[in-house]
Amino acid sequence: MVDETRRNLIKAGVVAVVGSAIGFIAVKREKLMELLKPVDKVELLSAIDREYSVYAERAKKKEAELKRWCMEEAAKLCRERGEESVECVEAKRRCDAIQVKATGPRKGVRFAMAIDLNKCIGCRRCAYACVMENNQGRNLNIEWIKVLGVERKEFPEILGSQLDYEMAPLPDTVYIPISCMHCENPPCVMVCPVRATWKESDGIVVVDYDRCIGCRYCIAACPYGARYFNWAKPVVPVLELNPNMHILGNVPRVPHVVEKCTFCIQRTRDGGVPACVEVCPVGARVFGDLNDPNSPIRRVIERYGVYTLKSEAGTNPRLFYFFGPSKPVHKQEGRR
Amino acid sequence: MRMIMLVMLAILGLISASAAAVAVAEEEELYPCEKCHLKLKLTGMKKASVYHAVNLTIGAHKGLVCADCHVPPTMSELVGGVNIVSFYKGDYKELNVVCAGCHEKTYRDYVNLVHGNKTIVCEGEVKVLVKGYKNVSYWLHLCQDYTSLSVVPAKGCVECHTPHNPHYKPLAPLPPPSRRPPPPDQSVIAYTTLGVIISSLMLIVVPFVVELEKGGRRGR
Ligand code: HEC
Ligand code: HEC
Ligand code: HEC
Ligand code: HEC
Repeated sequence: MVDETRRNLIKAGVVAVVGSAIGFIAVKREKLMELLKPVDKVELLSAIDREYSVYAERAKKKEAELKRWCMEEAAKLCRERGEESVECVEAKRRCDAIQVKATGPRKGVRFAMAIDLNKCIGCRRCAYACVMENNQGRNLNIEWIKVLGVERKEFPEILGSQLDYEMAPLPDTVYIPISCMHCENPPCVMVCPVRATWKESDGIVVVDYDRCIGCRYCIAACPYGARYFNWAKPVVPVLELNPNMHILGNVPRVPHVVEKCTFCIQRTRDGGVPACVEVCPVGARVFGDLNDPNSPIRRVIERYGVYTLKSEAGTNPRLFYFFGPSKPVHKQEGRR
Repeated sequence: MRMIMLVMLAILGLISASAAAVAVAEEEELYPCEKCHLKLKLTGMKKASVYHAVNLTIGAHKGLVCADCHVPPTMSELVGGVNIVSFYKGDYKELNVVCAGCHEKTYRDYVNLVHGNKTIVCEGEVKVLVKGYKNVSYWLHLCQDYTSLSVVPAKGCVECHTPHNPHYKPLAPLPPPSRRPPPPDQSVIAYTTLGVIISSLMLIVVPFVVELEKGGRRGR
């Protein structure tokens, strides 16, 4: 009898405990919902693997549009110069070759570039190649790469550097090419009110020209002056068009957007090197994947050590400078 | 169309190559080296040759003698087991082994795409020279497919360094950046913006006013 009562009591106790525990959890969960908001699954996943499907679609549209424009221009050329002229044939061939890609970042890749300041002779060939490769408007005089001539003195100053030197290399000058630094911590991305610029997982800071509203906050935020605003429609002659295009890179821009270096996204995403690296006559530029232990950039970092510009701005740039084993040009004896 | 262009390019290449060969032949007919050297019994222990206008008493290689690179007595073989005919034929990269023997570190840098410039290659590639921005020419890569590129060293050592005086000779700089066209006048922008705002306000307000007027009249 006593046993019976005790058992019943214990049962009742267990039921009560379980019941209140469930109630406790249920109540807490409701309270918790106020604190922790649920996330929309669809939205989250589509944002994570933006999958470039949006861009692929847009790229296709852009390609058709560009081909149409190109054919019109080519037809104009043909009327002017004659159907059989070299220009006409070449222009049509170029139009056919137009390809707008939307290649996404490869997993586990982190791009970086390094420039050997002992080799750079300040010849500006990189800046010109960049204009040609990236279908820059020939009417706007925007050059994504600037070469600073900094005097070698006790306290060299970036502010006192020269952009418009006519003679190079001078013995007492070091030449520092600058362009977008593809910072790990890009201030331009932070200030963009419409999220038209962001850092991709392979380290390239890109601009979505269709989303950019031209407010130019990013230009003000960039400590390197690496972003440029096109005040007019860029004009690219068909015969100079680079048919290898990327929707986030060198596709001919619409007017009134901000543009900048993209590490030649149309080349590097597909295994190439940027045009400036290719054209550099002294081979001062090195490009590669930071995550690949055999890449050229890793070799430079491990063998020579690298430096950055304005790291005190907290930007953590991925465009490095280094001092290779060569003697600086002015110290070489026996020059002819 | 592409085939025709390719053929044209090939023909152009042939013409220029033969032109270069003719120029060398007319100058002094250096090749084959054995032609003169077989009778000369050369040792290669010299620092300068008047005949060939090579002077190793100046320049970065002033510690060397001819035999450090040219194998006597014919001199047409080079150290590392290449023949100088590759230079004649234009296969400059084959001569890299000559330099690799002494400049091992730099050569490893070169192989790892650190030293020297690099270029991209792709399938079905045609390179065209275009004259573009400010009349500066640029080699454009035209590929069938741009999605599989690879990177290789662009030049052999001897294309940047003359072996007999190896310091690189700098190129002249291209013209400095030009002034960018000025942005539209600020006052124009201000007035246009003001105009747009006012006219859009009018567009919004006028229908209401008209509505009101109508309503008022009906009310009366
Ligand atoms: C037209 C004849 C001629 C031809 C062809 C020629 N050489 Fe010579 N070479 C000479 C004479 C003569 C000398 C010796 C005189 C001198 O050194 O000034 C010489 C000397 C040399 C020496 C210096 C060796 C020593 O011990 O003096 C080298 C190295 C050399 N030649 C390399 C070459 C190479 C490499 C070629 C082929 C590309 C070549 N020569 C073709 C005539 C020729
Ligand atoms: C550092 C190695 C090296 C040394 C030392 C050297 N040569 Fe050469 N030489 C080369 C190479 C490599 C070539 C082929 C590439 C070139 O000519 O640029 C060459 C080519 C030549 C040629 C043919 C040039 C032509 O236009 O085809 C001659 C002649 C020649 N050398 C003579 C000499 C003489 C004479 C000496 C010694 C005074 C000498 N070389 C020392 C590496 C060397
Ligand atoms: C027999 C060995 C030897 C060979 C082969 C050789 N070099 Fe050199 N090279 C030297 C020496 C020794 C120096 C002087 C090193 C110094 O000044 O620190 C030198 C210096 C140089 C320099 C200047 C280095 C500096 O520190 O500024 C260059 C550039 C160079 N060599 C290029 C070449 C090239 C290109 C070749 C192939 C055609 C070549 N060398 C072949 C031994 C060689
Ligand atoms: C794109 C042109 C280019 C090519 C190709 C090139 N070099 Fe250089 N090299 C330079 C320049 C520019 C310098 C720096 C100026 C100088 O010292 O002449 C240099 C410097 C050097 C030096 C001095 C020390 C150093 O490591 O920087 C050596 C040694 C040298 N090169 C050897 C070679 C050898 C060996 C090869 C071929 C495997 C080669 N170079 C290919 C452009 C080139």
